[in-house]
Amino acid sequence: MSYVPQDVPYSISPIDFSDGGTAQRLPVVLCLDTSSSMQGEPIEALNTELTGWSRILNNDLQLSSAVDVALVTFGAEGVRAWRGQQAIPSNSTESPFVPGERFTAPKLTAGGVTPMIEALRLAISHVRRYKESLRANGLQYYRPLIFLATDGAPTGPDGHVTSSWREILPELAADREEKRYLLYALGVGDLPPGATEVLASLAPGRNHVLAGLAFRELLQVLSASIDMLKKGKEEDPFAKIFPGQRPAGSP
Amino acid sequence: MSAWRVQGLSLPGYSHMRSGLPCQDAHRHAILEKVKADGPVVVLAVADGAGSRSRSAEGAEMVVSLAVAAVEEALSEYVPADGEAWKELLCSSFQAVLTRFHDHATQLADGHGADDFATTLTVAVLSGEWLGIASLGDGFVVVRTEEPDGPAAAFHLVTQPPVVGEYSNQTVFVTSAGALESLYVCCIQDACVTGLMLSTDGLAQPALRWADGVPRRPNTSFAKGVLDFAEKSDADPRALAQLLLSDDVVRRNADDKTLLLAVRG
Repeated sequence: MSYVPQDVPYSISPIDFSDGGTAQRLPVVLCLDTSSSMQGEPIEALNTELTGWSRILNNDLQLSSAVDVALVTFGAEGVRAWRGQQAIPSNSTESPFVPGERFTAPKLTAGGVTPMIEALRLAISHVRRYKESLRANGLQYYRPLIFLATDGAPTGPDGHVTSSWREILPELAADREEKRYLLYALGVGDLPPGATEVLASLAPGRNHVLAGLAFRELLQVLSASIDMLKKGKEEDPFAKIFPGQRPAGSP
Repeated sequence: MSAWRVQGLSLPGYSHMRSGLPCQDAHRHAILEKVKADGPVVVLAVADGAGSRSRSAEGAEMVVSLAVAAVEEALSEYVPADGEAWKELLCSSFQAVLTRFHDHATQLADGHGADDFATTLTVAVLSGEWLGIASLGDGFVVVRTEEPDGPAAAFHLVTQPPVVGEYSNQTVFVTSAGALESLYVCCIQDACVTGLMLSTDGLAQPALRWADGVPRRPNTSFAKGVLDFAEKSDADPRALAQLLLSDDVVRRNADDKTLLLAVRG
């Protein structure tokens, strides 16, 4: 691709950008609840917002060329990774990350229980593998972001709320310590009792309950994160968007 | 040798425009006619204010004017005749800049720290056959050399090695603790230097060629394009702005952009 100026009389000769640096990557995983409580209006709203968000992303010159998006859902069909609109079979090693300029949202359906922690584990393992592949290709990247959005609390296979989610906490704490990724836990709508405690434990200082399916706020968090992560910011974008939050370990 | 001509611009990046932030890059230059050198001495400075800092736009403006003034002051006392002396002059000028910057910023900060003004600084000095470059942070310089009746122009990248880390987007600012220890200084004696391009990291992806995640050499077509352009006496400066705002450039980096160009003729 070359740049050919158009409007001014004498100009700069064409420039070849082909070996230029690629914009530094920002991996983002949307980890979304599609359990049976999302049936009806909530899943419709989620699909609408997700499609709108993907269009905004596609058309944003800055975000679309830096952000790589992966989707993980938990609920209908259990835990599932999506590469854009395409569901990845559970036995496949295919990466779910798609460049922002090409990301399109699938039409999600709701059903089943809430295997939130299994979904989180899958998101984390995809982030780890994606970072490995970026490193292998000599690409620089920002600290990845995992956005967990739910209207419920984690359940076991029988649909009953369990406390086994606590088992993942030491692992998450170690990952925070190592700055492996930023995990945001967002509650949407009316959460069942105990759900806010789960979110607060999974993502201390980076959790919030949003009124409605506030994907616009989600995108704001993302944009602010890019701006701030860019130069190795010590500030936390989450705290700026949801004032009053203090991430664990921050001054 | 013919005199130097200088042209520069700093533009807010796409991300800054979108979020209503000002341009936090700045540039400044001076052509010193009165120093006792073999002709005018050119001093060039570019700065990139830290995106997260509230007053870094002021910091960038302040640091480029302090830098040009400090080098001018040092040159009014003596003009170095060898590489070692140029290196010393650049180091002592940076030292003076850092001290003054800290004093001014602390005064302006009104109780807050000078850190609010955090910025990078890259300076180049052209004097006769000498080229001195000193830099704190991730600014870079591309040098064009042309031998008389020789082959086509050659382009060389002068840049500070990147900071190592998993998320290698850290840089050093003039306000960083122990900043002078990270000062990168380089002196070249070469009568064939005919062009210079100073820039902040906003152009590191489009203007440089990369391999294994680090910039390795200049994107020759970029440096050649803008330096050849700057040589035209009827050059419309809007063309440079148009280039910096083009999709090809913005797609690779949405940060603020600065180009400061010096050419013979």
